[in-house]
Amino acid sequence: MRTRTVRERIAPAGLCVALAAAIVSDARAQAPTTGLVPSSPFDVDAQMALHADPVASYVLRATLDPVAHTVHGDGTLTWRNTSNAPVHEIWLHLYLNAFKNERSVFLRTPLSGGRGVGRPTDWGYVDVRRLALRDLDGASAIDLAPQIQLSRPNDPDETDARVPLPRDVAPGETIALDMVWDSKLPSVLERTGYSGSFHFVAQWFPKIARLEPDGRWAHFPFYRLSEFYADFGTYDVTLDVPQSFTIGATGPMIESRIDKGRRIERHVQTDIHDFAWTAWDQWQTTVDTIDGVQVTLLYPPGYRVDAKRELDALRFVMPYFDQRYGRYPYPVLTVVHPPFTAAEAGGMEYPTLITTGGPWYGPPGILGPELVTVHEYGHQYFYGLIATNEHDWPFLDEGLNSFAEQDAMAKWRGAGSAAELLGFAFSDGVLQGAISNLSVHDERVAQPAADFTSGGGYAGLVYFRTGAIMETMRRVYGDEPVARALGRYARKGRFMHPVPDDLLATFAEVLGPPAAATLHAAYFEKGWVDYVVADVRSHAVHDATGVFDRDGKRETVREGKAAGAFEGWALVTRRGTLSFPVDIELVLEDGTTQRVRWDGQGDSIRVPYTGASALRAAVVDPDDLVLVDQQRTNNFAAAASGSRGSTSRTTEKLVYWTELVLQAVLP
Amino acid sequence: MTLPATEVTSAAETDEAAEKPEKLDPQRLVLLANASMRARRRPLAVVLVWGYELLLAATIAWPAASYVNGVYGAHPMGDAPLFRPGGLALADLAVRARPVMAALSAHASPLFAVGAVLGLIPLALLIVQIAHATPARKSPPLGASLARAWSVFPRFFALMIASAFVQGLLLIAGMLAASATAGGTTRSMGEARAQQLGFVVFAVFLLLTATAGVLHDVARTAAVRFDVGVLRAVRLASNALRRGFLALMWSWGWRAAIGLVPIAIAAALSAKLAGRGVTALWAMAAIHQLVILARVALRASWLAKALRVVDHAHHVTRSKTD
Repeated sequence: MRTRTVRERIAPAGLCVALAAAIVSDARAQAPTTGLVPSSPFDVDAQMALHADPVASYVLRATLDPVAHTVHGDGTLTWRNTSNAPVHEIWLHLYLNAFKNERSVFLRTPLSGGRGVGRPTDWGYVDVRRLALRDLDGASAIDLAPQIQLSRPNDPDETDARVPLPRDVAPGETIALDMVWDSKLPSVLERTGYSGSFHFVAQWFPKIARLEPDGRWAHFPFYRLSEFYADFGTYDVTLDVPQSFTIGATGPMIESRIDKGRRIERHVQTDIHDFAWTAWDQWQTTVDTIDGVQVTLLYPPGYRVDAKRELDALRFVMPYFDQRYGRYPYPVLTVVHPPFTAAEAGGMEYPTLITTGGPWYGPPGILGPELVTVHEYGHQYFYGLIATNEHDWPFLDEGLNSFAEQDAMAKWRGAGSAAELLGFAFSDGVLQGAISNLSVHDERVAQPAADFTSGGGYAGLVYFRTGAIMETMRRVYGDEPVARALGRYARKGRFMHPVPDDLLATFAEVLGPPAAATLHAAYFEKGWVDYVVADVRSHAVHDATGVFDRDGKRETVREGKAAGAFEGWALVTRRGTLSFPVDIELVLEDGTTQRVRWDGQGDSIRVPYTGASALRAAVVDPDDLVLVDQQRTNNFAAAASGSRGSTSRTTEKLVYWTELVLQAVLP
Repeated sequence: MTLPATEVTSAAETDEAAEKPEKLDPQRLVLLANASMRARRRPLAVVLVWGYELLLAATIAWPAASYVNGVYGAHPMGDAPLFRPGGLALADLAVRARPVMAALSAHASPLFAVGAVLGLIPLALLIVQIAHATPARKSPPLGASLARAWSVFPRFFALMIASAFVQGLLLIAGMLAASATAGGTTRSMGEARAQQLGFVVFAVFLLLTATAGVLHDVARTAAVRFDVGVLRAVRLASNALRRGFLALMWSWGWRAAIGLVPIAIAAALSAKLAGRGVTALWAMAAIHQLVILARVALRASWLAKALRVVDHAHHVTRSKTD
């Protein structure tokens, strides 16, 4: 049964309903509360799609030569035209050719920062030997391999191949392509390759691009900052490796045998859009069941502690994400911790298979293995199940998943969700916010991966800015509404390839148009905000001084009679294009405080004060709700007449630590 | 180089200081007998070294502390937000302070270097105080001790340069050896085991570096005790180390190890007392300074031990030579 697309579900009618509902919730957004959001069938799992529409399915067989580092493959791709237009060409992604030579888009693009910055010490490529189009009856076959156009004029990149078809494929029609190819793996770089006998095999077969409903192919070369986009289908893959090697792969193993010194395993999984695998003769294995899912950890010898930490993280996050974003639908999850010499293979996600990373000696106070594990598992949703276009809208997978990661880590580990060092607890979300503020003015968050000008900017904006904005929404509007909005988006978008409008529409439904507008400004318009306590004044109330004409006489009052009270004001300004409701706290000399709520609209607010005690200082956003506040050191100011706060604790610690360092290094 | 006559008597079993009353000159330094050289008898010298470290640390840390005060002094809670769980204010300040860091570093680095060199004087003073007394068997006067410390300063400086050079070489060699070991055994042992083996190899070099440090300390005590030049001091230290390598390393090692205990205790107490008001802050400051003082005392104890060992070794060597 064909499942409805997201656009069929939401837009345009759905969007109108969302905006209408949002008008109702507008007042709530002005004064955020929780628990009043309108309900939707997608707030729970019941209406969530059970299966994807199978569009591109593969039956493949792969044979690994671990000495030559090659994979010989053959098999069949069955593909259906789900668009409303006839198709006269197909596009194949041959992404191993990114490592074929330095003329590839991947290697020639001038980019600093991020992963994959090195050069392969051994090249990698894929050669398509045969690509035979046959009708489903199998009666005839035409080899299209000679017609494959690997590159474009003036562009020698060979990762995005065009294949003209001898005839049009009508909407709804299914074709089958028999493929034979040889892949040469590169030295491990950007997720795939080998290091010694370790092999991680990703982007290894000719993979058809996704055809959008309007008949436009979403095809693109392999950019260094870009990830992937594909249609769902069933992958039935038989892997053939030396007997001494252990295999980890997408999907459950349904057959296994040893034949003539070779280990042969068959893995089959429905409702996925990619397949990756690993083979190594040194893998250590731990198998556990979490939340009904068989979890297999593969790790190098000596990494047992890391494996345990990763398993502990999964024990928390798998049920948590089930509840937040809908039940994980697959029977298996494979977690691959590559050796440190193959770190480029780590920190990546594929359907039902994730890779983690880090050295075996990582200190327990720094939650690296946990963070990576939670992040990569989050991609089972924000990439795997939701399957957005990672090339065009990387913030929808990496960004939302960064929020999911820090939210889960905070729920699990509290304030020290990234590290606990020297008596300080650092939160994952806080670090995301601090890093993201560095690059907020540089580029838009919501833009294609290929448009980013640096790896650092890509990381700071796509990963951290998206997450920090969402965390600010959560802190300002409340955990429950934001969880409901993101959960609704995730359930509704499961198997549906949603786009940014779907995310914004869901937030408009749940949190109201102002919140959705804030998201739009933050993601699409380089939105930023900086709240500032610009001035604080306080003085004793006394009778007016000056020259007065009273009873026909002119009288000069030089000193007013004190009234025993104080008055003053605090001027708070908002810089930037984003606005959030914030509290302003007035701190009095007698130690008491008063809070005033500002809706955050307008450029400034002057908060008047009258009372028995002098006004000492003012603090805007005293509870640190606006994580993306560009600068926190101007969130407070003391009245000119007010007493100053003490920083003795910092001074004492700095002196003590310096003494310890001196004792350690002084001769 | 021949040793001064006083040093011949220095290894005697009784104090040279036990002289007739008419010879007592309160400004004159005489060598203490071997068994009398104890750090606990020179608390003032220990406090002086602690004071120097405190002063130097405060001087180095002051600009950074002033910067924090300039920013967070305006906050009604002072620097309390910097210590909140989650680290938001701290992370934000770290981002804001990036341009300031270069200035802070430019201030701290030369101070650190100059402070390290000048620190040789209080260190020498400490050793002089432990090794000597007045003829009346009292603690040597500070002026005379300082004059003696100043006189050995050039030798201490030369020893420091030589020691830093040797220790630096050993550390670099250790890193190279560890890397080569790990690289060469990865294929056969697996990555983690190979790296662990590399760490073991590095630990051996670390032990050698520590040995060089011990030799350095013993040479300094020899320079003070026998008023000899750098080469002679190193030779005396080598003799002492050769005669009782394990005992000497153990004497240094247990003090170094036990010196970590007060740090751990203070860290635990700090977690308990954090953010509990001014009294707790003062209590924490006192605890921290007690930690530093205790570690200086342990170092003084080690130097006293080094003095006794080098004095004993020299005495034995001379007896054999005679």
